[in-house]
Amino acid sequence: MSFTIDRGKFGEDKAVEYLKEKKFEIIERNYKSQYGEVDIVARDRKEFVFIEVRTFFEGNLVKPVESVFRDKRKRLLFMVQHYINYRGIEGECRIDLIGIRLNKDGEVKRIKHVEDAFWGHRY
Amino acid sequence: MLSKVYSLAVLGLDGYVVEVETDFGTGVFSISIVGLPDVAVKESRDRVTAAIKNSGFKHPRCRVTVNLAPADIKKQGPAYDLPISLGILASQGFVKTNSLGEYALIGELSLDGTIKPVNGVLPMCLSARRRGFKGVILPRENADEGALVQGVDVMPASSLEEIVDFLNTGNTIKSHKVDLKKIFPDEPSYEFDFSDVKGQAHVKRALEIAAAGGHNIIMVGPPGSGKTMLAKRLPTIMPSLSLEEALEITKLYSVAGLLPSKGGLINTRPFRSPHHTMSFA
Repeated sequence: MSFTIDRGKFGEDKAVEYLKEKKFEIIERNYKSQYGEVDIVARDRKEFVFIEVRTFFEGNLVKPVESVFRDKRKRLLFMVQHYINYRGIEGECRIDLIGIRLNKDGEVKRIKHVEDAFWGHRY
Repeated sequence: MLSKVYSLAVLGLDGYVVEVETDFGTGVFSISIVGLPDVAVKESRDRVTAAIKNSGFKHPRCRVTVNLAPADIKKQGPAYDLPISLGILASQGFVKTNSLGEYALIGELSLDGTIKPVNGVLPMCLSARRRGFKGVILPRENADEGALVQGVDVMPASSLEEIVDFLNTGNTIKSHKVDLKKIFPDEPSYEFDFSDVKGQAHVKRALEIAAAGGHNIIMVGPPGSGKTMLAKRLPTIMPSLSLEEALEITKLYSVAGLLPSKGGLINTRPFRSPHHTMSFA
């Protein structure tokens, strides 16, 4: 396992813990298809929530939740639509972002949760 | 869930009914408007989303498709904001759908949910009467103009919340009526009158004959001899307008967006003075 994958996996585990604390029901983790990956699929009461987790070390000049650029946004949206069609789910959906900051020792320093992060974006 | 709302539009000088259908599909929020919309209609999605949020309603978290039927006529202008927003609200179940079919809706929305006036209300209301609607819900500023049409209830509204309330409970908005006798007097009043003119006896006689007989007239003379002054006063001695003529003129002004905000009806004969360098066509 490379360092990068370790970091991502660690962040996702922490994000799942955080979401369970907030009473989200985790439906699926790391859904993969030929087009990409969705980190976490969860359910917040009636809504389906698709969550992208970004884990950065402290000192990185880009904030985790601000690091999702256009290509990634497009891919995320495509993946969400693919998931909806593939699993045949119906109801309200949104995409959330969770940004995690790690300190030098690899411990969680801060978690930021942005709900409905891409609301109003033109895809 | 599918919902259907009726709106009105203008084609030339005549109005027609537009069906605004709204459907929800699973997915991340987006609104797509189909049915040959122009840029002002496409931009209405931003006004609509903001107006819904700021009027205290919940926003849908799904893919929204809005269809403006008939799909082969180009849709112009911001008057579809109101029907689109009510279509979205009805699809979410905020509005009772049975009352929606009886009313046609027109109006531009501002971001805080208040309703702004639009052009062409008179021909739209005429088409609503032809189609047999119970009433038309329109911006308060356009109420006087819309109420010229007899036989259809004109409901002036100033905010999105007010309309949702009205459609759900049936009260809060009272239909607007105008007294046709008051705004269409037998003797229209002009700012100036033919009797202001002193002298010029032979021109006055010529104008009187032209006005009585409906003839064309040509005036020739040096600058400052009073040609324009006399021409401006010619409408004051012409036969007064019939109601049909007045409505026809008002329709033109309405579609062009030149109608004065107060009163609604144009009850005097218009005087136009085109520039002498204008071209044919």
